[in-house]
Formats: sequence, C-alpha cells, structure tokens
Amino acid sequence: MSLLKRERDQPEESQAEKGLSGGSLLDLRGLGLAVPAGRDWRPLVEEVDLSIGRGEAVGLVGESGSGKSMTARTILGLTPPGARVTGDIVFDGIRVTGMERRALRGLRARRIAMVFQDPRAHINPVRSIGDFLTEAMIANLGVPAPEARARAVRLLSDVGIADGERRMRQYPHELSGGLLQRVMIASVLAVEPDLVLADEPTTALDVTTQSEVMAILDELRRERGMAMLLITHDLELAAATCDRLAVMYAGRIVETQAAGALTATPRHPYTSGLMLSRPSIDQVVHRLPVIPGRPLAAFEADDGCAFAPRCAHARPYCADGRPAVVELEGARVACTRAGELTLQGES
Amino acid sequence: MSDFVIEAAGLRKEFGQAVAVDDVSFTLSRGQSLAVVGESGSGKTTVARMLVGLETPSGGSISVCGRPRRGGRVSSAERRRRAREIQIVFQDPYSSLDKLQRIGDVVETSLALHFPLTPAERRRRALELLEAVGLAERHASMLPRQLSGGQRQRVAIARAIAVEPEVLVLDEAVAALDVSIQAQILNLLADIRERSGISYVFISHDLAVVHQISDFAVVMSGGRIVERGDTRDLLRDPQEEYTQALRAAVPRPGWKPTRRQPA
Repeated sequence: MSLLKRERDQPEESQAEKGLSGGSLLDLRGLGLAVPAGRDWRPLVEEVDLSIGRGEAVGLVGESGSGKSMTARTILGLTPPGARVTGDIVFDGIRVTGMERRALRGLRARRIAMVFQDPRAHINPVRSIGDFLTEAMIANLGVPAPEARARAVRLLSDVGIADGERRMRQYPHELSGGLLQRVMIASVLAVEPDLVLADEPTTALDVTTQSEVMAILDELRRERGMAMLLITHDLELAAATCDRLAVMYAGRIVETQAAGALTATPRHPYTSGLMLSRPSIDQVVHRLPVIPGRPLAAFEADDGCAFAPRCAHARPYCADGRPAVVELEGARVACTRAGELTLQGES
Repeated sequence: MSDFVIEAAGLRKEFGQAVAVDDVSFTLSRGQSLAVVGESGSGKTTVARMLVGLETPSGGSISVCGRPRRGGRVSSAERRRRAREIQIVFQDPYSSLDKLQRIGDVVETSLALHFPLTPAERRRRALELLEAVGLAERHASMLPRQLSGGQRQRVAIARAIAVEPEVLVLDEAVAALDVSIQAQILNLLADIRERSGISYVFISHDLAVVHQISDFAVVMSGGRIVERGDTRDLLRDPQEEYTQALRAAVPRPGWKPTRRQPA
C-alpha cells in the first residue's frame, strides 16, 4: 500500500500548473452539458461552478432532472452520445476537458473513482467478487495477484465484511444489495483515489443499511484523506456527511454553503422549501409546506430564474434573465432577492 | 357489525419453503390510517397484496368491511363488490397505468365498472376526480407518457378513489417521488381522508412519511410484527430494539451515520 502512495505522490505537473487550481483538488468552471435534440441543443447542465478541496466532502443535492448526476458523470467523461461539454474541469491543476482518451482512462483508473447507485448494474455478474476487486489492482496498479487478493480481503474487512475469503469466491447474485454496495466501496478503496464520486450510493438500500454504508464511506474516506462528491436527493443525508453543500435546480447550482450554515440559514428559497416540505420524524404538521408545481430540467426553464414560477418570494423582475450568483456571508446564491429574504431552515 | 373496515388475524404467507408473512394480525377502524412499516423483505408488501386479493394467504383470515375474504374463484359481481371496498395504489407510477389509455379514460373505466352513469355524467365525474387530485381538464386527453411521475401518481389515486372505496391501500405510493412532489401527494391524501372519511393502509419504509400520514403503525421484520402502537408514541419512544435501530438510522438534524458490528 505504501508503494502505491509513493508512486502517486510523484507530481506529474509543474508547480505553476498547481497554482492554476488554487489549491483545490477539483474545479468546475462554468461547466455546461448539452445533448443534441434535432437541430438544437438541449441543455442539461449550465454554468456550474464548484470546487472540492483535498480531503473535502461536498454534497450535490437536487431533485430529478436537476443535472446533479450528469455533472458528476461529465467529470469522468461519461456523457451521453454526441453531448457537448462547455466550460472547464480542472483536476489537480490538469485540465480534464479535452484530455485525450488514454490520459482520461488513467485518471479514472487511479485518481477519480465512482460509486454508482445500483451496484448490481455495475458489477460484472459472471465474475466472482474476488475477480472484481483484484482486477483494477492487477491491471492498473501492477500489484502481483497474490498480494492483490490479500489486500482485497483486508479491504472487505474494512467495509465490514468479515469472512472475506469466502465472499471472494462468491458471485454478485449471492450477495444482498447492501453487501454488494460495500464491495463496490471496497473496489474504490483498492486504488486509493484522490476523489470519490458517489452517485446516490445508498438510495437503493434500507435505512439501517444506508446508515452503515455511509458510516463506512465516511470513516474510510477520512482515514485515507480522500475527497468526495456525494450526489443525492436527500438533503439531510448530505448535511450529515458532507462539509459543504451545493443545491442544484434546473441544471444550475442555486446555492453553495457550508453544510451546517446551509441547513440553519438557507439563502435560496428552493433550499428552504426543500427542507420544509420533507416530513419530519420529530414533529407532525397539519399540512406540509409545499413547493407548488414540479421540478424542471434545464431545457424546460424559461429565460428568467428557473425557480421563479414555483417560488413564493418571486417578483415580476425575477423573470428578467438568470439571476447572477452573489456572495452573501460565506454563501454563494443565485437569487436576486437573496440579500433581503430571511428564510426558514431546520427547526 | 363491528366498525372495523379491516380485520386481519393470524395472516401467513409461504412462497415454497420461505415464510414471507408469519402470524400477522391487526385491525383498522373506519376513517383511520394504519402504517405498515418495515425494510425490504419484511413482508409488508405481501400483506398489502393479500389485503386486496392479489395473493392468497396460506393461513389466517381477512375480513374487509365485516365480510370474510375467502380465497378461490369468485363471481365477477363479487369481485366488483370487493373492489368497492378496497383499492390499491402501487409504488411505481410508470408501470401502473396503461400507456395507451388516455388519463380521462383511466378514471372513466373505473367509474363505468361500478356506477350506472350516462357518458356525459361519467365524463363530468371523471373531471371532478382529476380536479380533486390537482390535475386540470387538459390532462384528461393526455397519455401517461406526457405526465410526470407525480402527476401519474395523482391519476392512480384518482382511479382508486373513483369507486369510493372504504379502504385505500398505498404500497410505497410516495417512495419514488421527488421530495417536493412527495409533500404535495401526502397533503392530497390527508385532504381526501378528511373529506371522505376513507381509511388508509399505508405501506412504507420511510418513518418520517409514516409519522406524517398515519395514526397507528405496525413495525414488521422478517415477516412478523415486532411492535405496534400509536404512531407518534411509537416513534417518540420505540420499545423494541429493531424499531429503535430503524429510528436511529433516519437522517435528521444532528444525525451521524453509524456502523453496526461487522456482518
């Protein structure tokens, strides 16, 4: 394991390039993604600015169609066929956008790893768990097979699977969803990436299993100093496990704040609405405060603020163009009225 | 006649060697909302399916509106009568509607089966029902694919309440919906119950949702009921270890995920 560390710590890029990233591990600058629709382009993600520091956990929260998953996939170049990516993705001082395939593959193999929502769809069903776990170590990191197997068993024990030797011989269909997701996390740990992209990693799991899988991810990530981008619809889960949160709506980030500050004093009406409309285990209300209408995708939004049609605080001028992102006491908010509104957070 | 709309006693369901539901008993009074809570594999959906007659119990008995439900073949008149007593809304609004049937027709079909209405009356009633679930007249001529998931779930609810059943079984009916849509549907269900005095059996894994929508709850694990009671009391002060673990795992302000012992 120490051998791997040394290998990776050798900087391939000059100090000057390092300066370009401003100390953060990942920088998304004006990131956009559009897919072809007839003669037109259909935007899915627009002008996303987000940075993740080394070892930092950032939650990207949104409803369906918000573009949160697409943002994560674009970082790895996993975009739909014919898609157009605009803006810049800078990882550890290196531009990922426009990177040649070989280099991109190297990045995916060693430095950025992804945990998907449905492990069953992403783990080869006809190969054993042992094959799955050791493949990347053997092929990408050049670890000798016996050592890779020994490490895989240790990794399984790290993610709370005690009888690793037996599990290594089993096949995906013999494992429950929760166990399989832990295997997926173990496979990510195997290459010790700098950044983990976790796309709804616990959505398909029971709550008790979710709690456990998130605890494992959190603990091992901290131990190894890995950064994480957690993609989720669950604001409370993200707040509990991330340092900073970004809330997406209709393809754009509408608010970015430290997790505690965001839940206590949300600055965007959508963030506040999202928190309040979720039923609580501690109190019952006669009727839940609702956000009327339904969430929009980027290509469905009009020219003004995409959230304005659903917003209780909207003014006529909210329809005049996209609101600029403003800084407000440590928060970045895309709302024209952010400075004058006092919004309710968690009670 | 008792005022229980559902009486389930000693329910059991076996699939081959596996026991999915084991000795499950509960009652539901008119106008009340009962939650059946559990994780995957707990047997909660099998209970729902037995209630509406989609599965035949291997043992035990079910009475709906005071009439025992016996298995085996029943006449179409009896099936219609049962449908007037209990209806179900499924989890996945994408697979529970006929993709070739227009929204207005979905509701009208339900009405035509149960009420002697003229086509014009039926049409008017269908539009009333769509309006009651927050859809507009223009939605009546649309196909399911033109609607969002939340809108489709509203259609499924409109179809179910069209026959004015005594009991509505909701099997994870809000689980697949976005947070903002989930709140709308939960409020809609609360409004419908307040207006019509309908009873709910609310099958869910989500304790926060259950807290908001139900009066009483039973907690299932491994096919058995492990704890039952008034929903608020049950969630405030769960007695059984399993319910406590379930409650502790719900993300909320100040919560941190925790590891159990290695599996």
